[in-house]
Amino acid sequence: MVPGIFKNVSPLTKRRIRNFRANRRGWWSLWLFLLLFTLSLFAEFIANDKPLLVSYAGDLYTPIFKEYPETTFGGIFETEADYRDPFVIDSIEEAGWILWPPIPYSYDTPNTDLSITFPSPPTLENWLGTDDQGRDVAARLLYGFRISVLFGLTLTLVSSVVGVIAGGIQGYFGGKVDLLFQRFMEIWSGLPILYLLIILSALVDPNFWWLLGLMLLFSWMGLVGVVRAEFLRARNFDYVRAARALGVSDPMIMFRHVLPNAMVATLTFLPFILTASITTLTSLDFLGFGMPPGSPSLGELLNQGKSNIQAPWLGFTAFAVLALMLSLLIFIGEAARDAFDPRKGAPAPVAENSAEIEEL
Amino acid sequence: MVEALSVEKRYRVGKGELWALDSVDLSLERGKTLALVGESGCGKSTLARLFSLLEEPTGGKILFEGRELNKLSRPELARFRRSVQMIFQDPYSSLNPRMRVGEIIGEPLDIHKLAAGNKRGERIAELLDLVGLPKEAAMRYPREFSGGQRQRISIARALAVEPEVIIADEPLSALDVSVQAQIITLLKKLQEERGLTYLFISHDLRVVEYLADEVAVMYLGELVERAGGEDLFSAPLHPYTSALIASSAKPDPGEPRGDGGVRGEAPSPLERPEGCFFHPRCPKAFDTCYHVRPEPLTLAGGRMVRCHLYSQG
Repeated sequence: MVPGIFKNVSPLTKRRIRNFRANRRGWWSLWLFLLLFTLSLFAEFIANDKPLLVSYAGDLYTPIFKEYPETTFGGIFETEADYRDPFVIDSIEEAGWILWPPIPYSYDTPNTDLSITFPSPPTLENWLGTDDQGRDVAARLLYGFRISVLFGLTLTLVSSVVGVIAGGIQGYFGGKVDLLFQRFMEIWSGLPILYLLIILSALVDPNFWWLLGLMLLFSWMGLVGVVRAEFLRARNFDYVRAARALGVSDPMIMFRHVLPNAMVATLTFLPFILTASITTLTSLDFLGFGMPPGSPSLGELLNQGKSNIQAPWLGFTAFAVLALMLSLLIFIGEAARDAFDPRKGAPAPVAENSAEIEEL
Repeated sequence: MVEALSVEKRYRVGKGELWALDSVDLSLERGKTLALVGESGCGKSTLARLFSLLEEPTGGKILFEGRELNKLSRPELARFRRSVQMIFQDPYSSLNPRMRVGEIIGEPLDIHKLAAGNKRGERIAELLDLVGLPKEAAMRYPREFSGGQRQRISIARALAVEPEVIIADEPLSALDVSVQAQIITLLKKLQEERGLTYLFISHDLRVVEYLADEVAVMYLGELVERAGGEDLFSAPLHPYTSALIASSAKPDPGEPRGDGGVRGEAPSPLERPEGCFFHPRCPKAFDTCYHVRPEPLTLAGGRMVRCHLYSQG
């Protein structure tokens, strides 16, 4: 239940959307980012070492969705067909055809051409070259982008929920609760975060969810300040007092009466938290304490760029993609922040919905 | 009904202490209106918040039907919440701008499980009708209403739980004079129909004179005088009461407003004067007033006054 905000589009919401659209840079950044993100969600159909479609002996096969043993295509082994194996390709093409994705490599497919040394520069086969293990950089970028954004989004979402709850409790109850909680946060936020993450990720074998949990330990604090301030302000509103006098329970008051007021501040912060999450994951990956080895990752690509100065396409690609992604997010965040700013004048609001009931 | 026994409320402000209320004795009688008057900052609203259990006193007791408020069990507390309701000063901040009027009035019904399903809608329409609003108002947002209409919505919300006591904290001071009259008439009508008890806080003495059965005058956190409405206005005892009456606006603009000989501003409750709190401004102050704090005196007819003028003999 999101009271008020989305139930119907209020004039205020309309004004915010208008303000957001008025910021052309933020507006186009949003669309470009959404386009890139949607593309990366379909990464399996763009960069894969399995064909999109195989026609063999009059039948159609979809190797992306289903595993077929090599014997299906006239091979010898019962194991899944390796569609990059020249023998399999020949055997299929004798009796049909193969439709490949635009990039015929997945993020972990090595280019098995033995005549080149890795990392190899960009070619028509490998659009952005290969990394030091012969894996296609374009494919790795696509998958790495997806993991970065998904990780950032999940972390942002979870840490917002935790941050809003923590900030809400502090602000709403105030007094000693607030005092103790604030002191705890001062100590907690004084810990050297990256250093701790490195130690912790040395103790456990990091995977997506472990890293998420580790980073959550610190990232929830980002929102506490604003949410706490909003709750501190709102708890003295008369309608909150009225609700208390009516006997509405504290959690209910916080959820129904105060939280909707804090949502604007929260939403404004989200793009920036997302940016910070992505940057942290990238730095951990760069240092080698991030995602498990072999996973596609922008940080790992940056690191390869650093260790292979003779192959500048690695570093440049990773840098360009990171810079583009973070800039887009910042532009979106700025536009959202300005759109929510009540002091920012509306671009000529049209009078609507202002009809009042006559005084009775 | 609800009774305050030597209630005090102190707040810590930095290193000092702010005495918002000091030894206040007050009781609300069923079906009657008690008006609380005094300058801003004298502790009227604090007392209202204590009476509606939004805050707890730092000393003394508040009794509800003979039971102490902070010792009520859960079911007793729920009953208290249903019996005592509040109306606020600012009709703009007292309604959640993101909720429809129907939700605002329906919330108390849900909390106390008073009506559900079809009955809930009927009850909301009934409540709106009671305060003179059309039932279509339930689908609208507070922002679509004027100040007077919003105050009606507040009253409907308070009435939803069928309370016995309504604490109205300056319910008129944010409204136009013509709208004030409508709300006063409404409050009066509701009291006659349902036998409501009011604690009516105001600084407008004309309204108080019209509405109140009994009036309590506050100064710097203490009650300085309590008397029946007519007695108080015809023969005020405390010099502060006289000054308040003298300074209230008269219907005839030609008639000059007096100050009853009282000048200056009320001292801060952080640094209360020695002796009688009122002595620095009192035109009748004499030696004793500078050093001895007066005790409340009960006079004939149940009147109370806290002033050395009357303890002499």
